[in-house]
Amino acid sequence: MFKLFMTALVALLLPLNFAKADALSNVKSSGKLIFGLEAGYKPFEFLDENNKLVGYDIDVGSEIGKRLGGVTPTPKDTNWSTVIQSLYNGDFNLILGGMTATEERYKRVNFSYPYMDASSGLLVMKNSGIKSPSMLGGKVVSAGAGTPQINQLKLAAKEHSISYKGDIKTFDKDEVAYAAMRSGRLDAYASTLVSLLAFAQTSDDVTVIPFTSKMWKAEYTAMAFKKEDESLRSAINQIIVDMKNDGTLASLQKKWFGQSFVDLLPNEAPTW
Amino acid sequence: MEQMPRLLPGLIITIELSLIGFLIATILGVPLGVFRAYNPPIIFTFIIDLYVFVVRGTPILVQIYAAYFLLPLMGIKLSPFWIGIVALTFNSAGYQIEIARAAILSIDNGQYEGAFSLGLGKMRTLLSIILPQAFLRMLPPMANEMSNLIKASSVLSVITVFELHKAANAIISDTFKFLEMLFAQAVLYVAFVVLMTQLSIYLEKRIGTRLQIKNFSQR
Repeated sequence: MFKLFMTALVALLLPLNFAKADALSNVKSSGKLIFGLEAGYKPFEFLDENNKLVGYDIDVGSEIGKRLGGVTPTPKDTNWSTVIQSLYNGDFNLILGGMTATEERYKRVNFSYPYMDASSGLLVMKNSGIKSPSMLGGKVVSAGAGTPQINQLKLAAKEHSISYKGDIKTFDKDEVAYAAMRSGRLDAYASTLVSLLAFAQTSDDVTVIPFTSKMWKAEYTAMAFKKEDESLRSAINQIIVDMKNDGTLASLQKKWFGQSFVDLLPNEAPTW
Repeated sequence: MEQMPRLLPGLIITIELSLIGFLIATILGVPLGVFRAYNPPIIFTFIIDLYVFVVRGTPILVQIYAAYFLLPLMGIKLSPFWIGIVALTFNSAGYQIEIARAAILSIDNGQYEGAFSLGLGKMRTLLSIILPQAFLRMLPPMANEMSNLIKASSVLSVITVFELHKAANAIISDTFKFLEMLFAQAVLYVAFVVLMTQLSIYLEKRIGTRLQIKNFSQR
């Protein structure tokens, strides 16, 4: 009975896409560059007061669409925790959603050249007196669920020979963590520096400190592609290089992050 | 509170999801539940019971993800909104089957005996005697189910349906006003639920009165 059930299940799931046409020509012939993201990660992508999707990624995506030649950039809102699954389901051509390139993710996707710096930061209350990661011993620390910062917190504990109070807490949404910190449940929240700075701008009682270490390498935001979509990836890599050289990327970064990070970004895709 | 206008598109989607989902679930669930109450052939009993078992046994989050990821693999391409309708309908129909079945079973045997002794056929007994009384008894649990469904629709935010909860999340991502938006969406959910439960109370009174008058005139 169980065998029968499994066979039926497999048969049900089989009609997958076997046609492996070239990803770049697929995009060009469909006239659409669909990129997956989760609308809720300021300033990368969020809905403005008119419920219009805006942000750094949206602008970068439009620019890429323009340079690919007559391709309409189409951002597609998706659930971040299942974003790679949706990429392979064919919901979009690539992930362009403020994704930090990590080893874990690299097992399933290939990354573009970095288009933004993704250094980590720690959000703490101003009156907490925490000035560096080494001062986190005995504190309640947390990070976003499924983010590289969880592992970094573990490495930092090792590096400074400290132990946190209880387990590392994880949150599905940064905003929930911010509220938890304000109500005194957290001492520090690790995330990307730029997203924390965006929050700190709106609120006087918190501050952001850099979260760096010799234990992990520099981190970058990159676009993610299916492993087999190399043609699309190399075309977009070239566009990223062009955008760095002609100053487009720098001006978009100034627009959304207040400063340019272009000098920090290597022309080399993160691999492991 | 100045963010309320930004929540309205989400509220409208929540209302659409709840009403359409509930309606389709009622159209499917109530006849199935009535059918099930009269012990149909074993194969139908088995299928309906298995369905109810699956709906009751799995979290709505799992049902929603299943609809979102399995339907496209089966070649069914729907927008997230309609996938949401499918998931809510699938869920609610299961509960409504049980509500309808319980309502039928709660009707006293004397009603059947009375109807038969008056010479009414089986179908006539069901349509004119049993169902009107059963519908009245279904109303309170149906109002319950409706309020559950309204709140369950908030889970559809995980498959990017822009309903009330997702709209609130979008504002939180933009303004970082977490607690304020938590409160604002709660107020809107409460308002919608109260509206629907009041409607149910109104229907209960109305159908109740009509049934009694009818019974009275027949005496």
